[in-house]
Amino acid sequence: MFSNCIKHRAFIRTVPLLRYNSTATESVASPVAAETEDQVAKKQILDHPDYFSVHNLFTVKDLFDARVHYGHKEGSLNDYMRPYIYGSRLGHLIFDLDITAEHLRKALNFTAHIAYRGGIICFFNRNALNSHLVERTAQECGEYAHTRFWRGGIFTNANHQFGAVTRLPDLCIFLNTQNNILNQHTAVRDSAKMLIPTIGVVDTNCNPNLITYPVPGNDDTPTAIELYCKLFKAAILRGKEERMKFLQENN
Amino acid sequence: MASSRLERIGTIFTRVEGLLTKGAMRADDRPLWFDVYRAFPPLTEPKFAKPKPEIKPIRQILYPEDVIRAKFHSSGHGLGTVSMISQTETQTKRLIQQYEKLKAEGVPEEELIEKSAAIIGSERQLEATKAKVTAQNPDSVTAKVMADVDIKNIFKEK
Repeated sequence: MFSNCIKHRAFIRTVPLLRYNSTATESVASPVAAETEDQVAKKQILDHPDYFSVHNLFTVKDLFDARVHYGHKEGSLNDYMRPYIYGSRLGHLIFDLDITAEHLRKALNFTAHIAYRGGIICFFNRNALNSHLVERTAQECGEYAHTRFWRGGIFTNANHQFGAVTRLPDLCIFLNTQNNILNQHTAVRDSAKMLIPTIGVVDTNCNPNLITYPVPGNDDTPTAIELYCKLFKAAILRGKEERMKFLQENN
Repeated sequence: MASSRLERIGTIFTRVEGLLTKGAMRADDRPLWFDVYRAFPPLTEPKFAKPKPEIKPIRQILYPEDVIRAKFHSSGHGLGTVSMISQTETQTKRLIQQYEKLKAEGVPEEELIEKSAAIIGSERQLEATKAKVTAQNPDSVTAKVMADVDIKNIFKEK
C-alpha cells in the first residue's frame, strides 16, 4: 500500500522528502542530493534491528532490583493487563519481567529513533512524589515534561490556546498513565487523537489499549520510576548523539 | 494537517496510512514517527476496540516454606521490625532458617516453632544491645556525644 505513496512522492519531488511537521512552511528548493543522502542513511538505520543498541541498557535483574515486578492487588486488575502478569503472591499481582523487558526494549528503541530524527519528546507523570525526578530527567536530556494539572485542549486546541501555530510533541512518554487511581490521563486520549505515538508504563490497574508502546510494570515506586527515567534518558541521548554525528558528517 | 480525531477507530498508524493511500495527506507531510513505526511495530496493535484477552485463572505464587511461615505467623512470631535501608534478613526468613537447622538436628516437630522463636528472639535482643549509632561524620559534635552515650540507659538517674 505504501509503495504507491513512494512512487507518488518520487513523481512530484518538488518539495523536500520529509517535512517533519506539517505546520512548517515549505522551504524553497533545498539541495536534492543532500536530501536523498539523508534518506538513504535513515533507511539503513531503520533496517538495523537495534541500531542504538538499547538492548544493553538494562537486564531483567535491574528491573527486579528496581521493583518493577510489583503490581497492584488482584481486585483492581484491568482485564487487558492479564497477558503481562506472571502470577499473584497472596493477592498482590506480579509482572512477568521477561515480557516487560521485551516491551521496554521496543519502547527504548522507538525513543532513540525519534530522538535521532529530531522529534520533540514529552514526559508525563501525575504522581507528585516522582514529578521532580521526571522534570529533571526531561531537562537533562533537553526534552520536555508535563507533570502538572492537564488543562483540556492543550493538544487538541493548541493553536487557539497558545495563540500561535504550535508544534506538538512527536512522542509522549507516560511514566504513569493515570491521573489518580480512577481516571486515565486525558493526554493519552488526546495523543491518540492528534496522531502522536505514546509510550506508557502501565500498571495492573491501567488500560494499555490506547498506548502505542505499553510497558507493563510498576508505576508508583520511586526506584522503578528512577530506572525508567535513566533508561529513557540514555536512549534519547544515544539518538541525539548519532544525530549530531550525522549532521557533522553531512555539513 | 488532515487527520482523523476518532481515536477509537483503528490505530494511529492505520489512520495515517489511510490518509496517505487515499491522497488526503501527501507523503512528505507524513508524521516523523511513521517510518519508525512501520519498521518497528509494537508487539500488540494499540487499538482501543480490542477483544478482551482470554480470562484464565491467575497463577498463585506459593513456596514450600509457606507452610512453616504460616505456622510462625499463627503463633504470633512472624512479624518483626524490618529496616528497609539495610540488607538484613527479615524476621520470618531468619525464623525459617532456624527452623530448618533445628529440624536437621532432630528436634521434635511440636517444639520446633517455640524453640526457633526463642533462639531468634534472644539473638535479636543481643543485636539490639550491641547496636551502636555511628555518625556519618566522625569529627562532628554529634559523633563525639554519641561516642560515650549509653542509649539503653539514657533515662536512668546516675
